[in-house]
Amino acid sequence: MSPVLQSNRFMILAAIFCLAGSLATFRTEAAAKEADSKHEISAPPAKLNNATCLVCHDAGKGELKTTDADGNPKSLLGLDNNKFSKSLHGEMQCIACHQDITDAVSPHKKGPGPKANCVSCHLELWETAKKENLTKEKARLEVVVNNIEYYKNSYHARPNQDNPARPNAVCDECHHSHTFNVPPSGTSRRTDWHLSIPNVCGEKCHADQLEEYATSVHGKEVLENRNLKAADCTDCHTSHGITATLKDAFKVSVTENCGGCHGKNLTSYRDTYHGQVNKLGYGHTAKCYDCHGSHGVLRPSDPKSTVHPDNRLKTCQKCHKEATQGFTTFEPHANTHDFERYPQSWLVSRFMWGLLAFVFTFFWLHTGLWWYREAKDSKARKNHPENRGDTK
Amino acid sequence: MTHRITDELPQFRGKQVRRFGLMWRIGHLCFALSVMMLILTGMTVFYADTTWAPIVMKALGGPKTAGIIHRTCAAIMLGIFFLHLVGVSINISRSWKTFKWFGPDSLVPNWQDFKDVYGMFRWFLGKGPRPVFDRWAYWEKFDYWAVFWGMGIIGSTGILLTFPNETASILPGWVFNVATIVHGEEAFLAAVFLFTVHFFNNHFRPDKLPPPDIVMFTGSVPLEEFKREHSAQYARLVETGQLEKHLVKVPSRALTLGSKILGLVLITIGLSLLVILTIGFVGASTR
Repeated sequence: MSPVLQSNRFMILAAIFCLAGSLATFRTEAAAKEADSKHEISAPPAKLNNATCLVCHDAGKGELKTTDADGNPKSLLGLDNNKFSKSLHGEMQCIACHQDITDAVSPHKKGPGPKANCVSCHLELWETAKKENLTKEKARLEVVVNNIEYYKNSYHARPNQDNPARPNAVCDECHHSHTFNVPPSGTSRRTDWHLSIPNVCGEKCHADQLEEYATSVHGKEVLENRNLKAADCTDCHTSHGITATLKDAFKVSVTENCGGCHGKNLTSYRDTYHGQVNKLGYGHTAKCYDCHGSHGVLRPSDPKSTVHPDNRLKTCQKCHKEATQGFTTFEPHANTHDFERYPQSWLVSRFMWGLLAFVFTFFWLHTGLWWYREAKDSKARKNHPENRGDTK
Repeated sequence: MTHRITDELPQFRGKQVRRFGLMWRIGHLCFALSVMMLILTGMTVFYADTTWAPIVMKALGGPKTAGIIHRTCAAIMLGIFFLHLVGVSINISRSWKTFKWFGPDSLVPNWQDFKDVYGMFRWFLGKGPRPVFDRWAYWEKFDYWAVFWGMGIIGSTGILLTFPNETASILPGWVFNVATIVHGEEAFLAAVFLFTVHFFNNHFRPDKLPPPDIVMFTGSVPLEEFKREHSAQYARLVETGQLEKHLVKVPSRALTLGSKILGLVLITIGLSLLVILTIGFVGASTR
């Protein structure tokens, strides 16, 4: 995430919070009256419905402006009702989520109800579903609840370093709560939705990574060739359960995530010390991205690739500081069944298997027969009248 | 036939026959301990895919610590091996003129060993008498020389992998691929050989039950057992009147008990290692 972007965003947020706080606590009676008379649309309605909200919050009316209690201009959240009504939540009342809004007055006098909160609402719905034995019918809700669990343990849910009062990212920073919908699978809208992932992650927060990703073999496939099979952010990082990349947990799981597509390479990697230690749960040995690069990964044949023969020694030297020329011809993905590509490994593994087979066939046969004969002889000896009571 | 001889020599009753000197026994113990530790640390990486491996690795203190343990034990093992080579060289050079390379006291395989292998298989199949052995039976000689092979193969590949920068400055990179395969497979061979064949020959065959055989800790065997297991040597020593030279007192109760406990502990560790190796092997072949 660009620190400039991030800090700007929080400055604005902080300003809004301060403003709201000062309005609620320090507004004088007179000022309040003046403000009320200025912005009151009508007498407070008996019941707030979406139409009432849209009187002010309709994005179709262009840029929405109002003034705060001190008369300073302030932009107003706009809602595209057309998009909202088609969204998953399109049939819901605004105040079903925005429970702290109790009036149609600008600025709102916040009530005691909670602010809009995706997590608590979905968890409540799930609890109700469980009570009513509707968990099977509400399978999708279960997915949401599981994702909430993943999210709660994710890096995004942890307090932000610059502003510990809020998490690194909340639901609607990725999901656009007022238009959120998952298009049916197999439709072109679903494809569009899927292909938008890099932009969702990159646009607001992870701009540098997006820029690099766009130049990579994955990024070109996804963004230019609309190839759904190529990796987007979530294929490597996961979505809701995303973890800090500096932690061992990520370093261990990312190899599996790459292996989800690059299965054979994961298998051959697991036969090397790098892969074995990684499998044991430790992140310090080379992982896919240590050699191949991460967001900017290129084909090995690309002269700019970190694993291109010309760049390989430098890549090895990232970890093996004193690495010498022979490192570049080490095969980190060798196997023992491809004679064309890895003749030495093929030959030596055949030899070792032959040796093992020969040694164990001979000696286990020797052992088994010895056991049989000696047991038989020792029984005969014990049963012999002369030797009764003879131990050993 | 031979068992009649002691009847004629009652003064030897209750005595034991010295088989291994103190240095050999200490060497064997250190060798066994370092090899077991090498197997544990190495196989945990070799079979990283198993459910036991991460638990063992955590107990060892992580791969970096395990690596230090592995290389320390390797240095101990190779050190003992080279000290042994020095000791053997000194012994042979002292008796250079009289040392019979293919004689009964030499570990060098001789024609009799091949005849003994044949004789043993005939006995196994009930087609002949049980062969009698001199000081070193052929399987004992095999155990001895197998270590040379193991040291050469596992040791040399281990050294290549321990010093990658030096290795890669003179050798191509596929040497690492080959060394990794050879090191692991040969170690598997050695470990499984030790914990099945070596254990069976020395501790688990019907004549040796119950385990453990403690000759490698006390250094001596009861005369009765010596007569049975090394009949040819016994007869030779009696005939040449040299038996008395090899007789020692029965080891103290403390040494005997301690040796039995140590033996059982080492056997238990070895069999436990065999179990986790089997789990790893079966898991790898069914994946």
